Amino acid sequence: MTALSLDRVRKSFRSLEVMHGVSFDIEDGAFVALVGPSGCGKSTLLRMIAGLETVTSGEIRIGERVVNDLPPKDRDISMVFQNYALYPHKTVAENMGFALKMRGVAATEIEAHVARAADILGLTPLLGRFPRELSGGQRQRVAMGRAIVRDPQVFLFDEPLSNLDAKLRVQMRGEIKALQRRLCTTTVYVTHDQIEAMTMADKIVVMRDGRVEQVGRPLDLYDRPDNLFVAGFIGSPAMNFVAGRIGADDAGSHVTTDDGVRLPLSRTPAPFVGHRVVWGVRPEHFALAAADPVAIPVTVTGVEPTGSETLVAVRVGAASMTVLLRDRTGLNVGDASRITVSPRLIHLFDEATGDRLDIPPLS
Amino acid sequence: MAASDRRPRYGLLLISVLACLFAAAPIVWGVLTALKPAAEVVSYPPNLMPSRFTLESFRQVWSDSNFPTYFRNSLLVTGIATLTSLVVAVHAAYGLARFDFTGKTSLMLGLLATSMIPGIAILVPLYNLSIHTGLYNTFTGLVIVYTAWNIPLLVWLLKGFFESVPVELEEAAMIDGCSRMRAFYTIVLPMARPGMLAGAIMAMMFVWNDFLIGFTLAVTEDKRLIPYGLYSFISNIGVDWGQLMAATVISLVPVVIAFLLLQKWLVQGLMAGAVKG
Ligand SMILES: Nc1ncnc2c1ncn2[C@@H]1O[C@H](COP(=O)(O)OP(=O)(O)OP(=O)(O)O)[C@@H](O)[C@H]1O
Ligand SMILES: [Mg+2]
Repeated sequence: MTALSLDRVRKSFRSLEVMHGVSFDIEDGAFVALVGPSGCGKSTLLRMIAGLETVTSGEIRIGERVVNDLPPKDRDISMVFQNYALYPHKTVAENMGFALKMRGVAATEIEAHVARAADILGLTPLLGRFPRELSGGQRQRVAMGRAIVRDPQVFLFDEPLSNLDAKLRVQMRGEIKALQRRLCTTTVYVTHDQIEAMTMADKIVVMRDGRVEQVGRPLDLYDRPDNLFVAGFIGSPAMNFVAGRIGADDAGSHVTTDDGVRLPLSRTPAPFVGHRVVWGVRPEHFALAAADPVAIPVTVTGVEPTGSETLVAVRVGAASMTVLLRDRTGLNVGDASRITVSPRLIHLFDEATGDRLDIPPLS
Repeated sequence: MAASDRRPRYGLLLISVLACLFAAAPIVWGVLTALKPAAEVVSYPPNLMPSRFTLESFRQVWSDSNFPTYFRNSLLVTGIATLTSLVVAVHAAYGLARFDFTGKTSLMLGLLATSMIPGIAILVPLYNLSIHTGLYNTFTGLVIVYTAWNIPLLVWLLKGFFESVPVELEEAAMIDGCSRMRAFYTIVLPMARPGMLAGAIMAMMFVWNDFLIGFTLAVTEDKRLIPYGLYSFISNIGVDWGQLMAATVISLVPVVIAFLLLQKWLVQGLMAGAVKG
């Protein structure tokens, strides 16, 4: 069942269009992350779903209802704001119970709901405090509590963790995910942190400049990015790209970069030969192969050991690439070496359009 | 830093004391004069301290003059005018703080411009207008004029306060089930309380102290306000300093009470903890 669906949603501020027809569906109970660089329209989209921003054209449906013209209070959603937006003159308990109070729920019942939510979030000892008497992490939890105290159809989160320090962020990431599993409430989670998106979401919507670039499960985006933008956005460290031309000779198919370096490629059908492409490989998919004569020759320009892995910056012809190695190396800056990559881990993109180039394997 | 903070600052203290003395001296003298026996009030050379304290002047003011009527009128007009100014200004200021519409800047500047016109410049037009509308010498007329007078400054003041309330708080309230108006009343207004009280005091002081408008638009004894009442102790047969001072002291009482009641609400920091960063 579809819990939330957007159909060709557009948004203009005055004469400036910032959302150019966004469509996607979210299944009931799914955790969807909305990612994209700053200014791509994530918050705007979330606010349109919440009813805080009007929809210029297109349709937003929550459950079966078209909600375009419903005020926020009638949409049956709850939202956690980036800056939490706790009511400063209300205690934690009053903050959490406010939505129920507005809906005319009896005081004793409110108390029970608040107590349960507080229990889930570990807020019970703080119920009598005011927001100013809480730490950042506690405020974040109260904001969550305010969202889960009633049982809405959709949770909307706008970068709820961006104000926390790195350690707390990782911890809260796990807690939010666990909470969502437990409540099974459809969730739209805005973040510009692709790691947050990868680790938490069932499905990721990648946006750029008011358009959806790709929708898919985290690992699908990682394995088969639809275009250069998604390929570069998902994954850390980012994918390496080199532009070149597909060639074929007796030794097999390859991509030749503009400065003449031969990059490996699986055997390619004739029609693709001569095509201008961007050749992409994730840093973690390279392997060192100093002795392999057909491997890619590189010059080491930097070595960053982190303990568990080693990040090696290399130069391939004029291009720079990053290689992520699982074990330690004896490599030093200035060394010459060779790297290989399994042809099935290579991504090709059309240089002109940036779209993924799917080359059918030659049997 | 901390050390210099803890060192007593005698210079600052001295300045504060002098400022207080400067501000309080006329009041102290007034109170002492009001408590003097009638004969001593005009004795020369003047004594600061009365030889004995008496409430005679107060009794005369309260039972032998129209001052109680003026006092009641002033309370009534000030109370209602302050309230209406505040109600109108609060809504206007909120609209101006939160919505964008064409002509907004001109409207704000227009408001500011009207409050720059000196009262005396429009006294005669006001007088004519009130005669034509039948509001001459009525409390309604006074309340309308005072309200109109107060609104521009109040709007400017309150707009700033509303703008300082993070808009996410209202949005959160609207998602929590409030309409926009309800979000305004339950979330924004309580937070703008310091601003509203500051505005209320401003408006109240203006109406309470105004002489010109009241003197022009309220002309019969049963409609007169305190400032005229004080003035009436200065007559062509002389000034009754004792009674004048007693009446002045009485007229100070509501103001002092209002300040005492409101000052604890004027504390800042109501917004703390609402949003992070
Ligand atoms: N009220 C507004 N008036 C005009 N333009 C706006 C308004 N709100 C947002 N925009 C524009 O819409 C675009 C999308 O903004 P939005 O806040 O949705 O970005 P975002 O993806 O949430 O970015 P961030 O990660 O920085 O929060 C931006 O170009 C922004 O300048
Ligand atoms: Mg945003």
